[in-house]
This record gives sequence, structure tokens and C-alpha cells, in this order.
Amino acid sequence: MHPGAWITWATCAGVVAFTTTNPWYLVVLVAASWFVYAAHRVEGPAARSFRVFLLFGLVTMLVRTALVFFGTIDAASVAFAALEGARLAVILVVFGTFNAVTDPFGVLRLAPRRFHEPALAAALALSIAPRTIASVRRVREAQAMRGIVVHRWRTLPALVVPVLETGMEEAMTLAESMDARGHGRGRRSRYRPQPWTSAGIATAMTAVAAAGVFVIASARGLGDLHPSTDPLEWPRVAPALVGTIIAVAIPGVFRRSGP
Amino acid sequence: MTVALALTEVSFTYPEGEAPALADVTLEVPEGIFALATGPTGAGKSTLLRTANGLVPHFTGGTFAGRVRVAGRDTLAHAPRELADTVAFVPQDPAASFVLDRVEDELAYGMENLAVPPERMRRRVEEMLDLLGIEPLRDRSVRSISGGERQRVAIGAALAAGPRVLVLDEPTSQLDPQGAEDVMAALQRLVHDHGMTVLLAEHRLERVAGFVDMAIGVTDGSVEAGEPGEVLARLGGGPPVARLGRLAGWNRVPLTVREARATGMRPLGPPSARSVPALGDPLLIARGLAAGYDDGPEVLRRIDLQIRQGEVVALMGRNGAGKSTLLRCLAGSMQPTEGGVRVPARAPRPGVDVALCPQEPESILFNDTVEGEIAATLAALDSERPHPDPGEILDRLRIRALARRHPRDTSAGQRLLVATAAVAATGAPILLLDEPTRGLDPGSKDRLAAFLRDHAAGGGAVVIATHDVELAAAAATRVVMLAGGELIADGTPGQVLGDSHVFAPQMTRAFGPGWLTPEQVAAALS
Amino acid sequence: MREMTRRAATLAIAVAMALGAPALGVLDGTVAPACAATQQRAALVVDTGTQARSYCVALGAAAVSGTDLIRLAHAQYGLDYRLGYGGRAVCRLDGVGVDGGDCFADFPDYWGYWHGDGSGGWTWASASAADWTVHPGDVEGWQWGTGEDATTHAMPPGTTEEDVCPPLEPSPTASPVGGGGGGGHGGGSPDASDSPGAAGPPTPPATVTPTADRAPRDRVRGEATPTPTPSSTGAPPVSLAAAQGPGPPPADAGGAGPLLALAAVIGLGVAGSIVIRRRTAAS
Repeated sequence: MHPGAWITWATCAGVVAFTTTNPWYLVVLVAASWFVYAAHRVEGPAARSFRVFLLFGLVTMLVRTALVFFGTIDAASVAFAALEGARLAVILVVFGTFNAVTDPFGVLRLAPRRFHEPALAAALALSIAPRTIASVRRVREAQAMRGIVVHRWRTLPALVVPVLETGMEEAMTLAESMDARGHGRGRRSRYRPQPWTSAGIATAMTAVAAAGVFVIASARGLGDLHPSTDPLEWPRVAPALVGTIIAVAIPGVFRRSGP
Repeated sequence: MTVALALTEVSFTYPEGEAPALADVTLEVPEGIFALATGPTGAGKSTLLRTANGLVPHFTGGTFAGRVRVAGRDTLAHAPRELADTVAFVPQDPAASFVLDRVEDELAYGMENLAVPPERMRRRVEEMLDLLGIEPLRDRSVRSISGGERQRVAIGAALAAGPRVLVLDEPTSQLDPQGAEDVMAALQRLVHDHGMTVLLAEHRLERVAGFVDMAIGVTDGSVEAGEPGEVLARLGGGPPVARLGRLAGWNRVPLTVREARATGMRPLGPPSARSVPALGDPLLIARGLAAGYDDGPEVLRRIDLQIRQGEVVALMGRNGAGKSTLLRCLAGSMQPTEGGVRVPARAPRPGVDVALCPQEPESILFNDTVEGEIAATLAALDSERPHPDPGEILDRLRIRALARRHPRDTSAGQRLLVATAAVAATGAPILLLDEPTRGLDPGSKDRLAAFLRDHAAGGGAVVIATHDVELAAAAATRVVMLAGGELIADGTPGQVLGDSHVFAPQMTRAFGPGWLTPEQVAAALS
Repeated sequence: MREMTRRAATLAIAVAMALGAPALGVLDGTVAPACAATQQRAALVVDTGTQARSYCVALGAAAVSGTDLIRLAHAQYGLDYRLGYGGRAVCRLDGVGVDGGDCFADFPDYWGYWHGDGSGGWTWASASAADWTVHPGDVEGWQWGTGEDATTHAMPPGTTEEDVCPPLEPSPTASPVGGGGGGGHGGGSPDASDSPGAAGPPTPPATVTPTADRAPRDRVRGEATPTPTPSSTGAPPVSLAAAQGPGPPPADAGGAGPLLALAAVIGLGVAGSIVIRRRTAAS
């Protein structure tokens, strides 16, 4: 699928998540992301980013909720914080899905030439998460094999130093490799530019439409996008909005091509 | 003949280096030549290679004197990217050099930057897929393929841009013997048929000596170039056949199996049975082992294996056969999906019963000094267990001279020895090593082999996953062959390696099954 | 790998059930009415712009916050309300206001907050109701209208505590107040030992003042939107109707919406697991 379709999908799914704190819609959106991830994830460590970001999201939600305990504790404020946290968590899940289905450097190739440098920086930044995930796993395991189990502050350098140093060395090698292979010579051609297939167009269009519906619903106060937490009420659900989120899962039914 | 690469009085010191990495180097590599750079680990081969396209000094900084010209262009006046159409470079760790995710896109990346027309890119990518035998990988992610496959993709990506000069840093270090043979044959074809110039650094001379036209010996920053036989003779190295030639005092030192056979010298009779140390008790027992990754297919299938005291087991098999996975299961760092591993009474405890030296030694090095690295392992040990003597470990691997050096400021081969020392310091009876041959020169390899044999003789056991048949022939008491996740051969090196076309060491090829090391043959000849 | 997909499917179903159970009536979200101590009372005036209602609220403590007063009125009289920003702002009162999380979505219309000065006048509240302390005998006012501050925002009708709360009965065991004539006093304490005869549903507040004939400044808004309801900003699509209407009781959370959402979560979760298993088997 065209990388632009994924950028559009992720942005719009993020907008949907941003417009609501209704757990019903958020959970359906997570399910939709999971379905898309299942169908399109790439091979290799990047595929882990769904799970990692899901975990990261849950931690964010817990931390956000735990902050309440520094103030007045009642069901209403806990619920309010939990829902705000859930919204953040779902945005992270969407980002994790995006990371797991695309190649950041493939996205880089879409950038117009004059934006090449900022796009390169962005692509490098995007690729840091999956690289670090892989690196942390590798180093932890390798250190455990020599009897150093990283679980306390004192043993943290055994994990952090190799991860950072290997990361630096890898970044250097990558920069050298890109330069040695002619990156930044100015003129360039495109190898098999990914066409906008009907699947890509459908993905982008449904995503935009879904985001549009949620933005409108949000502006008009429809569909209980922000369920009342004070009084604590059971969130209501508009079937039409659930249907809209299901539409966000549409890329999942298209056949995956490429890695 | 035109000169492809010319170094004139080149001296170079790294920004924080004390001694120069290159000292007054003058060198000419003619066009259409297959050249080999060799020498001890840490001697400056990688630095020499990186001057060819200006990565040294453009990316490193440091003090540079003299002049490097590649196809007539000065590397000081041109940035590496401007030389990309002339010279291509494949670094030691191909995985870190990949820019894009899909194999096919990665192959085209360099051509895109050179603005090669799309139709031509398309044809050249297909050619590269065929040339390196990676067509089935075209849609795969470069992160998900095996180390050997990555190396081939990196070579293909460099070649695709159509450079006149190709520079490769240990291009076969992660390849199985057949894969290495294929890559070397492909490179030779490029030199012979297309007039390309290839410069590569390599320690496993048995894999390359028969292909190259010229050797560049690098020792302590200075170089001598010439006919491979002469240069290797002066370095005192060379493949096992050359070692045999020197041990047996032949007039003409052979470089290839064919040349060794041509001498007409043959040991009489079959080899005397190697004195196999009496096997001790089983230390590690694997039963019905099956394993796979999250969502991938099964990597191991019903493996039964017993490792006994005193054994050095070489785990062999082509790239992706499941060697690393088996090691991880034996080490207890990976949970098998079926079956299990015991040290006889319980599950193995990492760092206590077994210790594993990883494929990338860098992933465990975190101290400022080499001795600090050993101390870190000792600090993590239970206090009641006997602590090995750190100095003795450094001595046995002969790296005491590095004790105060920063582990990351050493060469790839030295780092491997440091990591091995750090892992051995656990005192775990069972030592596992995953591909411990990248960057390892023959001298270091001998030390490593001796260290492993000593460890086994001292009541321990060693399992070493390797593609290096000569290391297996020299160090192993037993060879276990894997294919498609199944155990297909298990026996003495003589039996298993002697019975294989691909995995036969040079002595077996030259003199028949049972002959494994030059020392063994030389003794029989005299 | 199969393990992973199974775990994922189980998780999806568990989450769905956790969300679905209350909707199916397993849990009950109703909040028990607060215990009202009859001795300590404050008056609350809620002016929607078309009519003003006043409530005599039993405080149950020597001091409560401005938002607690609203919650107490909800518990004692069923006053509809909704707070936003984690309980720091008032979104909706008496069915009027914003039905989303952003209480100022309809700005410049919003719930203006006033404190009674004790003699029927009002002073503009400068702090959030959550931070304001209400004492027995105080009067609190809320007015839905336009205006940024004391000089531009409309006031509720002038009210004193005595207007709203009837004189205290000499004895706490007196018969429950029926809410007749001039003043309704909250339905008494549900605590039987405190006032045994007081049990019973809260009575509606007595004082209802139509405000449509008040100052023209206030009525400009009133004429434009004679019946300010949450959906007054536009006609909703029919399909969104299930989510319409301010603050329906928890039982309304059931119905087609949650079932559809449940089905979507389970369906997408299981479908994803199947896709993963297929891809695994294929590779």
C-alpha cells in the first residue's frame, strides 16, 4: 500500500481518538487497529511496536489515573483521569500500528526534495523506536547469559551503555552508508514508485471520512463523545459512530503487499 | 594498465588515537584486479578500506596526510556521496547499513540516488537478485532475514549501483561455506568479465586465496602489496594448505587445495585415530526440543542432544538452519515450544550452568576497560561460588595487553576475545559461542581454539555455532550438523566433515577423509 | 504463536465483557442519595434563561464546595447536571448547557456562576465552584447566558436563603415536608434514625420563576433559542438519535449501540487473530 495511505490512515485514526474519551469508541478503535496491524504488519522487530506501544499506552493511562491520588479522590475524578489517559493510550496504539505497518524510510521517499533533510530526520527518529526495542531485547538477553540480570539501578549501565553505544555506532554506520551510496546528491529517480492502488485510495478516503464524522460530531456535541464523569454515567453509544470506527479497520481487509 | 585505486604517502591518525592507524602507505591497485587486504586483527585493514571512498577522513575526522585517488578522483576533494557512482563500500556489519526495509527497495536505493532511469533500475535489481541468489527474498524485510542473507543483500545493493571499484570488509564472515563460495565466484566473475576492481578484507584465507590476484598485507598501519603467495608467506599466515607447506618445508607454498594436490605429496595410509579424550558425564541434555519465534514457522524440530564433559561441539549448517536458536534454547534464554533442556537435574541457569557469548560481542560490552568488563561479570556472581582469576583468563586468551584499553576502541576480533573472556569469567561449565569468527585473524582463532579446548579439558564443555570449517576441524571433538531445524549428522569431525562436499576442510579436500589439520598431515608426512 | 493469538482473542472478549456487563444491567450505576442533615441548608438557584428553579439543599456538613452543592441537589431533588474538566466546570444544569466534555463549547453562552450577597443581590464568582466553600445559609446562583463577566452576564432572579428555605421546624421529628406553597425543603433525611418518617422520594423544588419576561438583555438569547437544549445547535442525523437527549438514566446505555460495539470488538479481535494465524501458517 502507498505510504501516503498509511500516513493518512494514522493521522485520521489519531484524530478520531483525539475527539473522544468514550471508552466504547476507544476500545472499538483499538480493535480496528489490531485488525489492521494483524493484516499489514511488516516482518522483523518493527512488528513488535504494536505490542510495545499498547503496553506504553496502558502505562500512560495508569500514570495519568494515579496522578488523581494526589488530589481529591472520588469515582468521578478517577473516571475522568482514566478516560483522558485512555484517549492518550489509544493515540499511542494508533502510532504503534503505523510503526508496525510501514517503513519510515519508505515514507521518507515521498517527501518533496526541498523537504528531504527534515524528512530524513523524521524518518531516523521514527526508526529509533523499533531499533531500540530490538536492541534492548538483544542486550538484556546477552547480559543475562553472562549472569548479569538487569533489574536494579546498579545494573542498569549493563543495559543502557550497550544499547546507547550500539545505537550510536549503528547510526554512524547508517549515515556513512547513506552517504557512500550517494544520498543527498540532489537529483534522484524513483524505483517502482508505489502506485496509489484502489486499496490505498479506499484506506485514505475512509480514514478521512471517519475523522470528518468525528470532528463534526465533536463540534455538534453528538454521540456522547465525552461521557459524563460527574455525575458518573454509563457512556452511551451511537451505532453510527461505531460503524464509522469499523470503517477505520477497512485497510485490514485488503491484501498486504510487500514486507 | 590504469590504476583503480592509488594511495600516495597516506598517513592517518584517528581523532583520539595515539598511534597512527595508517603510516606512510603507498599502494596501487590496478583496474580489473581482485585484491585481498589481510593481516592481524586491529592492524588497520578496515581503515585502509575506508580511505577508498573517503569515509576516512570525511566521516572520522582525525589527522590525514597524503593523497588517495579512486579512478583518478581525489577523495579529499570529493565527498563520499560524489564518489558513489565510482566506488561502492560494504561495511562489516551489513545490518546497520540498510536504509530501506524491503530487500528489493534496498537494492535500488543507491541507484535512486544516482538518478538511474527507472527501467534500467528495474533490470539491474533483477540481475542482482539472480546473481546473489536472493530472488526469493525480494519482498522480505531486511530485518527479518538471516545474517548470511543480509550480507548478500548488502553486496547486491553495493553492486547494483554499477561502481568501477567495489570495497568489501569481510564479506563472507557470516556466510556458510557454500554461500561464501557463491559470493566469491560472483565477485570473480565481475572482475573477469566486467573489468571491475574488487578490494576485500578477509581473515578466512581458505575461502579467498584461490580467487585473488593480489594481496595487501597490513601490519601495524603499514602495507606491502604483491603476488598473494609471496605476501602471505611473508605474513606467515595463509590458508591451512600454506601452513602445511611451511610445516612440511615444501619449496613452493601452495595457496589452494589444487596446488597442494599438485605437489604430489600425500600421507601414506589413513590417518591414525585422533586421541579422543575419554568422555565424562553428560552436562547438558536436550530432549525432543522444538522451538519457533512468535509468529514465524518452527525453527527447531525434535532435537535430541547430549553434551558431555570434555567435549567441544561444533554446531554447523547453512545460514538459517537453526544454530542460533538451538544455542539460545541450550542456554535457557529461549523457551522451547516442546521438549526441554536439563543440566542433568534441573533447567540450566544462565550465567551459572551455561554462559553464552553473543553473535554481536558489542551487546555485552559496557565498561571503560577490558579488565573492568571481567570484573563486572565477577561482581554478578554468587559470593559463595569460586571466582575465576581475571588475570588468568586474560592470559589464556592472550589479551592481557588490552587490559586497560576501552573495549570499544579495539578491533572487531579483539572485542570478540574480550567478550569471550567476560563470558568465561562466569565460571559456567558449559560455554556457548555464537559465530565467534567475525574479525578474527588466524592467530586469534588459534588462541580461541586453544582456550576452548582447555576449557573442555578442564571438566567443562563447549558448544560453538560456526560456519568456519577450519575452526571446527582444529578445535572440535564432535560436529553436529543441522538442516531445516533437524539434526542430520552427529559424529567426530573426521566422520561428519569428511563426508561432506561443502563442509570439508582443506586437508580433507586435499588428502581425503580423516585428515583435518595441517599439523596432523605434516606429522604423517615426516 | 497460537498462544499469542488466543491470548489476544481472550483479552478482546474480556474487555468487551467488562464494558458490556453494566450495559446489560449487571452493574448499577445509580448513586445513592446523599444523606441530608436537616439543620444545615443552603439555597441553590438554577436559571436556564427561560425559567429559574431554586432548591433548598441540605448540606450534611458545615462546609461543602460549590460543585458539591450541585451534586447534593442532584441527590435530593434529581437536579440534572453535568460537570466537565474533571469536575472543575459546570457543563449542564437542568437539561440546559453543553453535553460534551468542553463546558465552554457554546461560548459566549455558558453557565455563569454567582454568589448571593445575603440580601437578594449577586456577586460574580471569580473562582471555580470546585474551590468555593458553601456555608449553611449561603445562596448560590447559576445562570445560562451570554457574557464574559459580572458586567455582561445575566444574573439569576434576586433570591435570599429565606425565600427558598422555610423556617426550620422546632422538632426534627416533625412530619415530612410535603413541598407545598412557598417553599420546598428537601425531602428530608433518608436516615431513618435521624428522621424516621422522612423516607420517601425527594420532592421537586417549589420555586419556579419564569424568566422570559425579565430584562431584555437576557431575552435576546431567549428569543433566538426559545428552548435551549443540547441538540439545539443543529438537527442531528437520525442515526445518532440513540445518543441524544441529556443525561438519560444508566439503563439507556443498553440497546443497539453497545451491542454493536461489543460485536465490533469481538469481531475485529477474532478476525485479527485469524489473519495472524493464517499469515504465520503461510510463512
